[in-house]
Amino acid sequence: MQAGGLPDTNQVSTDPLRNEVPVTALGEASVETPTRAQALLRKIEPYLYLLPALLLVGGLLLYSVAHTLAISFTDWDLITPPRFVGLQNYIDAVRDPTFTRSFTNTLVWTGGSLLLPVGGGLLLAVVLERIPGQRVLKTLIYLPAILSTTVVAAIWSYVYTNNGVLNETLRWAGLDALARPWLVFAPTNTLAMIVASSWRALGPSMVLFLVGLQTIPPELIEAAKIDGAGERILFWRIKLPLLRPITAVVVIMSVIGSFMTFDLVWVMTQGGPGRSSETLAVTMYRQAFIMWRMGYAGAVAVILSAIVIVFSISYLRATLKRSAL
Amino acid sequence: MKRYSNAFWPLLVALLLVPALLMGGSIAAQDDPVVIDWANDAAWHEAGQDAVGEASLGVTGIGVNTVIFTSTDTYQAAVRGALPTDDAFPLFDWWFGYRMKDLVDAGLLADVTDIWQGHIDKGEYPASMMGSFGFDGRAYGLPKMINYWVVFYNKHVFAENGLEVPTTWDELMAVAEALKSNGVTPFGLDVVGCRWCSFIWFEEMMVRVDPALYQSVMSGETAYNDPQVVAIMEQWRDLLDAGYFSQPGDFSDNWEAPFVNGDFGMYLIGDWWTGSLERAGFVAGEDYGVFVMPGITEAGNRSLIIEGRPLLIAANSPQLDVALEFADYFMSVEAQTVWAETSDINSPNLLAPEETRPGHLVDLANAVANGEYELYTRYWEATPPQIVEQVVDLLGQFVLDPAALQTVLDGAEQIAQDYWASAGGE
Repeated sequence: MQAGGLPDTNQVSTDPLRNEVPVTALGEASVETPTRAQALLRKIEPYLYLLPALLLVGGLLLYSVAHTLAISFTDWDLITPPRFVGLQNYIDAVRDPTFTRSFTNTLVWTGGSLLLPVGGGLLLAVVLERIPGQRVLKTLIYLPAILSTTVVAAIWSYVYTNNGVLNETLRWAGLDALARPWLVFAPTNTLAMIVASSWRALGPSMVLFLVGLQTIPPELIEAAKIDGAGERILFWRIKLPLLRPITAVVVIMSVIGSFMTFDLVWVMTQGGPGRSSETLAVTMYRQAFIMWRMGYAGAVAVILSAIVIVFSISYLRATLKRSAL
Repeated sequence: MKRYSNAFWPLLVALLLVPALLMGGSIAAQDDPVVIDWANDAAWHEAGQDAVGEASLGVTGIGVNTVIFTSTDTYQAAVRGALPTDDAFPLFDWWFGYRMKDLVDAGLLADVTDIWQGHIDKGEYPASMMGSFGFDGRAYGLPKMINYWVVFYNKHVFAENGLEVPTTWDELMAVAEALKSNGVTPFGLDVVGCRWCSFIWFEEMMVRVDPALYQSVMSGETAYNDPQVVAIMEQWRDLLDAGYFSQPGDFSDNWEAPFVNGDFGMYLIGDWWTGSLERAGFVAGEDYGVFVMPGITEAGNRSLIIEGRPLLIAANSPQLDVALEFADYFMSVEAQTVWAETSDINSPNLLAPEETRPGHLVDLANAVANGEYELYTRYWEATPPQIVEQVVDLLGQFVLDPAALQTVLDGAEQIAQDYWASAGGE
């Protein structure tokens, strides 16, 4: 910039952060235009930084949501133009006994996911916090989390075969009556898959609870102990209430995850036998990519999303309200 | 900050220019020899497709670019989504029978009847085969792979139990009884790890008793709960009750290991299972053999279930003419020989050298060529997928609970009726 012999003020005009002082040294007419450009640039600049993220979110997320909503009101098989059918897909879904069964199975998944990974994760975190050798145990419990769902499903498919590890162990322990074909009959197949899923999900929720426990000020615990609080009172009256924010995160993640349960079921049973272990996400996938009923699948997706959104908002509101009290 | 601002705009311009330059590159590449995309979801076809493409380049000047999808569902969605547009894959594999009917009805497939006729006239293909690849006398697919459904038997298991290959239904039952009493499960069947496998014995029992009835049920003329169908299903139920099948949950989705280990003696499946057994180290002729299931009636003795994987041509592809020219070459003896040699797939071209066929399937191929069998389309493709996809789940329930036979057939009939009513009885 200096090479052209221009005064410093011109150099400054290209830099929006250094334009205050020199402007006064120039005539108003010559300065007004670059100043406006600078001001405009300054206004736009932050949005330009946001633009890539906005395009990504808008293009990949919002467009998909709008598109799914739109096709849920149509009959569309991908090869012929979509035909508007109003609410028919929603009516078909609600009347379909398989949808009802998938919905029930999804609720079982949600309950199971709250009980095992969330409840179990909390229990492990509280217990492991105080015992020797906790590092090794924590690592062992977390280890399955690094496996992909497909690998987990493949491992547990073998575990659950009639002559698999589980049945053989039960027979070895003299518990023959408990040995059974785990993935064959409902609701055992769904419960068995929840256990397989929890094996992987337990570690991450335990870690989150451990982080939560570490944020509790030790003086609070000490004060309670001085007041004569035992372990049970410490847990129910001090630790659990103070863990509320982290519990909210774990619960929300777990519930959303269980409503989206697809891959594990798809690999282990494909929702069968006889659609007995189908979840809503599997129903959605089957309708879209096996039956080519994109509209019906879109309706299931919208219903699924609505349930998750309503639950998340209600739960967060209730939790945050209690936290604020 | 100043240096960053200066770098921002050139970087943005560069980012915008890169795709433009790449597009320019692909346009320039159009001067190269004609290459067409050939999509499928079977990675094990890749070597064969590439070899045929190479051979074709020398003869027709048309090469192929194999596009492999690793997931069948993704593949189907991508192909269907592109078919109505000019982005459609010019060549792609599909499923025959009713699985390609909606594509035909939507006018998305090129008519290849003339190509078929030319090769039938040369004696390369049986005329009856063309019917499985189209509708109303017109063909819309070419035979990339033809498979017959046979019983695989473990030779070691048969030898240890002093058994011979059965040639009648009674002999088959005697073999099953002998295996069972010696502690070997006669037949493998899995409806837990394999959802669709429930139709295998349904279709087989139907064509072994009354193939005409099977076709009538497939076309919606006879009900699933017709007394004749119920009677056939009761025979299957008797076999289930007799303990001739592996128990649900006995094995996960790996069928090779229990067969190789001799956990069950026989497995009814498409002859494409040969490749899986070879990969498992089981050698045809030494470790296992195949036989066509004997008929329960005389008509059932001549039945054979056929499964075809058609090569389809997209009507909307800008490379339609090139694709048709390549398809004609693909049907030829020369291309089929290359295809059979490089893909381990049995060529349906009757004039393809015998040495290209797997030894244990030569007799079967010759018997089909000599007209010894009537071919019946596999259940998966013989009736509309909207029916199949629901009925296989019901048949799975029947395998788990044979007592539910009537409920299952009533449910299947309801599904079929709903479909045929909504489809206008097409």
